Amino acid sequence: MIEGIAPGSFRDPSGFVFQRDGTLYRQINVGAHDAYDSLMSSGLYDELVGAGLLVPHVEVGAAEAYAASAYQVIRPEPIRFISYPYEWCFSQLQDAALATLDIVRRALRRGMILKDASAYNLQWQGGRVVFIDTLSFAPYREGEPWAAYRQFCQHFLAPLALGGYTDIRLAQLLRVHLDGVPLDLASRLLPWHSRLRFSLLAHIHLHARSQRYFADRTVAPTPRPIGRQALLALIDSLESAVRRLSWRPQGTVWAEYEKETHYSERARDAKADLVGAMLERTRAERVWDLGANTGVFSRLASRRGALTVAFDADPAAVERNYRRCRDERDTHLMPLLLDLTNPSPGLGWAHAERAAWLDRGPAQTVMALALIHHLAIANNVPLATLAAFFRRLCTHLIIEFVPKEDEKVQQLLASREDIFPDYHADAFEDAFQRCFIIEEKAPIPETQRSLYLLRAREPA
Amino acid sequence: MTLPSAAYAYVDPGTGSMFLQFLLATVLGALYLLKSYWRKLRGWLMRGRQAAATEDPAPREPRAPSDNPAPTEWHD
Repeated sequence: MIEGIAPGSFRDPSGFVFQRDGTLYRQINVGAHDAYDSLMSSGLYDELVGAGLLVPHVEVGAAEAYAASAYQVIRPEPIRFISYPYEWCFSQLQDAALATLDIVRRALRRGMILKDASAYNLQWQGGRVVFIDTLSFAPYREGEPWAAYRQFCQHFLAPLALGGYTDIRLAQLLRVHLDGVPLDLASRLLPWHSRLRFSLLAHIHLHARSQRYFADRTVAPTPRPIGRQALLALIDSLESAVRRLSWRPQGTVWAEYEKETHYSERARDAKADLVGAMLERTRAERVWDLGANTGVFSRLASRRGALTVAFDADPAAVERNYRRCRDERDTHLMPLLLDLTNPSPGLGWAHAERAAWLDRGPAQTVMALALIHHLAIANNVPLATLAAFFRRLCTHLIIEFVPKEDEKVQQLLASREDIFPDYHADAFEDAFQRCFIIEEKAPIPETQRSLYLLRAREPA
Repeated sequence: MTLPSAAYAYVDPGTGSMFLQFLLATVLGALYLLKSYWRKLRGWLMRGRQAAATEDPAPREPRAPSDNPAPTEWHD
């Protein structure tokens, strides 16, 4: 992360996030002192931190301010890996939505409310979803509506409904629409029978209609309050809407990968032992598992205490991985959705509000198991290009070379011309030795595959 | 309809959203009131019939099985 004000932190006049000497701070401006004081003195901060819902912080004093008009500067506990809603699986987005509503309810009980309901207010830490925008809290005035209602529907309810009712891939609309899926678009994409559920009819379809109706009209507001009880009923309705949405992780290309195992039991165990031993050698604390599927091998790293991020392009695989993490209360494994051939780019204003995937690295160790043939053969990426790419990601690389004779590669080549004369173990080693040193090489028994432990060469 | 106080809000709440929220909050709020009165009434009636009455649990909407398109199963 670069020093100075965070590129995405400019919308809220209450304050902003900045970096100094590698540490992240949040400046609270004078105009927001009321809100901040209420957060701290009402007991809401203690309650939320105690429940693991809000990121804890330490006050460092206004003297540490980055810009003028500071009231206070806080140092929040840093998030160890930043991820974005378009990288989350269905259940991750759902859990983030439920956490948001839980926080709103708790806030209302203490006379406060959330002034925005953006999905970017949440991150994962230690396997749990946590709210990171300490400045999102404002004093609640009885009678006022919830200003963040629209945002909640667009950031959470719409993409979840689209995933549950239409197609899970539509969640990627969040990459294009950074303020959530427009409700008229969601309404159009949802099937007719989604209107049969009252909460979706109201919060998406009628909501879209209402937005369209008022789009060109200026309304003179007549004061009529919304009571706290009515607001809580609205929150209940949203929660019910979110909870009832569901998606079964199946029907995608890789959904059944684990069941169609082509490794013998001996091969599988041997591979696990070899990878485990290689991980021991690297003693990495930050591990990325690329093409992790449901995280079987990622857990070899996470169980050794490494903060492990398990990336896969298949929503069903990530969903299964996450559900298992949740069931087992895994504190070290973070599953995320990522297409290596088209990873998250820098998004938002000046390409800088949401960091590109590569800018959130590097990792110490990267695992690329049962992956290379998908990049080199299925996606035609030359081995030298792959090597240079991996070199940007890590210090150590644990990679499985899958030769052409392997049945999986034969499947990939079944319906196309073999234009890969240079795809063999020697060429692989040559290409990778330009950027890496081969520390270890081991064949996987009962297969034709080999595991390599590579260490990045120092730059020239 | 009341608008959120300008001092803190920087997110555009949207006029259409505010209008709908007022409508829904009124309807849902009224429904919630009815539900709680009905629960009170039921509790009062049941107390009349037997000594030990079991209170209804929290007012959250229970998960209706018919609303789920399919049960979410976790395969391994």
